[in-house]
Amino acid sequence: MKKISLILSMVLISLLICPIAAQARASENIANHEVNALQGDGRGEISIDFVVRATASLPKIGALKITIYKANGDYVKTIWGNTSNGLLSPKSGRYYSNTYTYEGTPGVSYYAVVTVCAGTATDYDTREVTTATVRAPY
Amino acid sequence: MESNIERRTNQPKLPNGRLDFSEELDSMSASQLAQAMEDGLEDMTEETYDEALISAYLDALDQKAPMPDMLDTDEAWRAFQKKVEDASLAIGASSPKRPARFRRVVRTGLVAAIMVAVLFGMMVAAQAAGVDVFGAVARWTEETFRFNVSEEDGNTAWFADYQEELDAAGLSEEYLPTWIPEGYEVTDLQIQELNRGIDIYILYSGENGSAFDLLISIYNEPDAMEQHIFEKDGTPVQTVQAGGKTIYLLGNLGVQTAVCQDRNVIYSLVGELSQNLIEDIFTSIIGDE
Repeated sequence: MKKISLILSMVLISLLICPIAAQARASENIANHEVNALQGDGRGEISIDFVVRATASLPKIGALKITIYKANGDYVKTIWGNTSNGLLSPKSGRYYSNTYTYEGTPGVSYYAVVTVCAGTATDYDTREVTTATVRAPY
Repeated sequence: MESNIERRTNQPKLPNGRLDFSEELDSMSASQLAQAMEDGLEDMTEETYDEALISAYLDALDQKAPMPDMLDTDEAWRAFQKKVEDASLAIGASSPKRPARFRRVVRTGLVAAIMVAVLFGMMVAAQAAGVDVFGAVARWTEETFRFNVSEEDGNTAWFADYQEELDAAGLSEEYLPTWIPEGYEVTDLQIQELNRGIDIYILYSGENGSAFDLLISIYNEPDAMEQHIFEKDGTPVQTVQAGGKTIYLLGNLGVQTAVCQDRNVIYSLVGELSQNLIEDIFTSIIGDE
């Protein structure tokens, strides 16, 4: 009897976990996002594009932060998003995109970890994207 | 000045006592003789009445226009009627034709105006009943358009307000949908130039507060398309065909997403979407075949 109860409990828990797992992959606030790192136009420049699309018009939408690493994983710097540096939208909306330009060392390769967000000031969803490694142009 | 009577009475007389101015009278017509006799009679009084003169006029008149011995009343009546008939015809022939033609023009114009008014009345009534008669007329006169594509043809002007921005970004209308669902209007259009290409974002707002948007992502390099991630829940992905494109329908916690890729462009709709709306919007997007 104890064994049967244990098995049933495991089955029930498994059934409950599956939909929760499925829900965790979806987002209430973020419909789609996109992040790309490319060589910039200027010497040593790395251009980081980001696009965030929300499911509704939300006050906080954009890039919460951008962390720069060298190709070998060495930490370089973190840029926190705000409306002044253009990482966060200055107004509510369903869509926001922009390009952040990092001034690196020509010939050095970098990658970025970008955290995008959408929601209210205190309740927002985030997604983290790691870009491809890009060599800063000469 | 010698009056007519004095001049006449001074003429030489014939043996029978009558005045001899036959030459003069012969040269006169019957109407002239009658007029001359009338003039003479006006000048005469009881005391100056000249019987010989009047007789001369009468004799001359008798020679010029003899009176019939016996008047035929029927013949006279017929002659009078003929004179009246001839006079009426002469009046009709000489009257101008313009008034009759003008009446015909006015009558024709009135009939045409009545017909137009009736037709318009019918069209307005049909419009009130929910039949898009005017749209049908526009499509009918276009000939090359099908019946159910009127909205597509009629709403191409919506992006005229954003033509400057489109031109500045070097974008042609081929990326844009030409159809707007009834009850919606475009309330926002953003063009964002990114390093990987260009985004066109279009927000549609409905009368009842509903909304959906379309994102057109254009890529310079195809590899970057792999970085475009759509959130979805566990509901199965469905596909539909529209406008020659495969549309993928994703569920995301109650919010519908419709995505399709056409060459270097990813189109995505997000919001309260019906399948008909999705199909119609993608059908109306003019893309390269």
